Amino acid sequence: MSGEVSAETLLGLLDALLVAAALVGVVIGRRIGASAARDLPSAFALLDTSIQKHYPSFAPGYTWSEAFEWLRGRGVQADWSKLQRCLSEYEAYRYGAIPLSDRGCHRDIAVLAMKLEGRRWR
Amino acid sequence: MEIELKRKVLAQVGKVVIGRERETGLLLASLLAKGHVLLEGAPGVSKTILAKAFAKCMGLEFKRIQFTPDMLPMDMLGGFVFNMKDREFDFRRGPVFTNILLADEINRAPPKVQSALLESMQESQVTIEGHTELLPTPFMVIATQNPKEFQGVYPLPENQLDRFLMRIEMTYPNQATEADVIRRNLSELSTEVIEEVLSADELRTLISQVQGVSVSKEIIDYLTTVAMESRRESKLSLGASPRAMVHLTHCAMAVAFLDGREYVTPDDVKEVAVNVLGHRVQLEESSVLLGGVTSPDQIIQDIFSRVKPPR
Repeated sequence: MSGEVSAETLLGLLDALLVAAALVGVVIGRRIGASAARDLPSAFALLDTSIQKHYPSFAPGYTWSEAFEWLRGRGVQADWSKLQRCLSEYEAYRYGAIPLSDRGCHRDIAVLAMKLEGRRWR
Repeated sequence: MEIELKRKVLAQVGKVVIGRERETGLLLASLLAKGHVLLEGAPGVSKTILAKAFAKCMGLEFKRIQFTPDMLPMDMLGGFVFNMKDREFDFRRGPVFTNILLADEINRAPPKVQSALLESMQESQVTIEGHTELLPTPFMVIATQNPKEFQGVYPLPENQLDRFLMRIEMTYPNQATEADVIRRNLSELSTEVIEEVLSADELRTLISQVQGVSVSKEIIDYLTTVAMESRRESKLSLGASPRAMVHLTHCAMAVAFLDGREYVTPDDVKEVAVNVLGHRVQLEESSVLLGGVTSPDQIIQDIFSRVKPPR
C-alpha cells in the first residue's frame, strides 16, 4: 500500500511541526521584545514587565532607583553608571517634561530587560 | 548651586556633629520647605548641637529656650512692659523673635506654652493683647523631645504634632561612628569653627526658588493614592491628612531642589515620607495588642512598598 502514510511517519511530522512552532515562537518573542523597546519609555516598560515576571517577590512599590540597587545587589552584571544616566534622562522626561535625547539609552535598558529574561538583544 | 549648598552644609555641620548627614539634609530640606522640625531621641545623641551647628552655618539668628514646667507663654513670646519714662506700655520681644528657635525639651512645657509656640509656628506671627508682631523670615522651630520620658512631661497632642513638617528620630550612632565621636570630643568642640555658607538673603532667594520645582500629575496621583491607602489601612486609626500630603509634597520639592532638579520624582517622595507622615498617623490599638506592628513608621513603609509609583 504505497499511497498510505504510516502512523509513525505522521507522528514524526507532528513532532517536527511542534519543534518548528516552538522555534518560530522564540524568534517572534525576541522580535516582539526588541521592537517593543523602540524608545526609552517603552524600554522601561519592558524592564518593568521583566522585573515583575521574574522577581514577583520584589515589592510592587519600587522606584527605578530601588530596582537598580536591588538588581545590582543580586549580582546582575551591567554598566550601572551608564544605566543611572539613562534613568536620570528618563525621569527628566517623565516628571520634568524635558525632551529625550537620542543617546541609545533605550537599547541599554532593553538589554537589561532581556538579560533578566535570559535572552539576548537582537 | 543647590547640590553645592547641601555639600557645604554637610561639611560645616560635620565639623562638630559626626554621622548625622541624613538628619542635616532633612533639616535643610525642612528649612527650604518653610517647615518646622521635631527632633526626637534619647539625651546625649547630639540633638542640641546639631540644631546649633545648623543655624550657625546658615548664617541665621539663633536662640534657644529650655522648656520647663513652670514656664509661661510670655517667657517665650515677650509681653508689654511699663515704660516709666514715657508712661506707656512697650512691647518687649521674647526669644521667639529669631530665625531659628531651638525649643529644647518641648514636652516639658505646659500645654499653654506649647500651644502659644505652635500658634507662632502656624501663623509666623505673635499676637498679644491685640498687638500683632510678625516673626522674622525665615522662621524655623527645631523642637527636641525625649519620647521615652513619661514623668513630668506634657506629650504633644496629635493636632500639635501635625504642625511639625518633619519628625526626625535621632537614634544612637553605630560603633564606628561612636568611636569617632569620642575621639573628636577628646579636644573641646565648639560651633565657633563653623563657617556661614550663605547669607540670609541668599537663603530667602533659594526658598522662593523651591516653589518653582514642578510636581507632575503622576506624582500628585501617587500622593493621593498613598493618602487613600493610609486611610484604608486597618492597622491605623488615623491616616494621613490632606495637610500632611501637602507637607510631603513641599518636602519632596525641597529634596529635588537640593539634588539640583526642577521636578519631583517618586524617590524624592519616598525619601522623606516616614519623616513627614510617621508622626501624623495613629496606630490602631488592637493591631498593637495583637502584635506584629511596632511603629507608625513601619506602617508608612509598608504602604509605600505596596503602592505602585509612576514608573
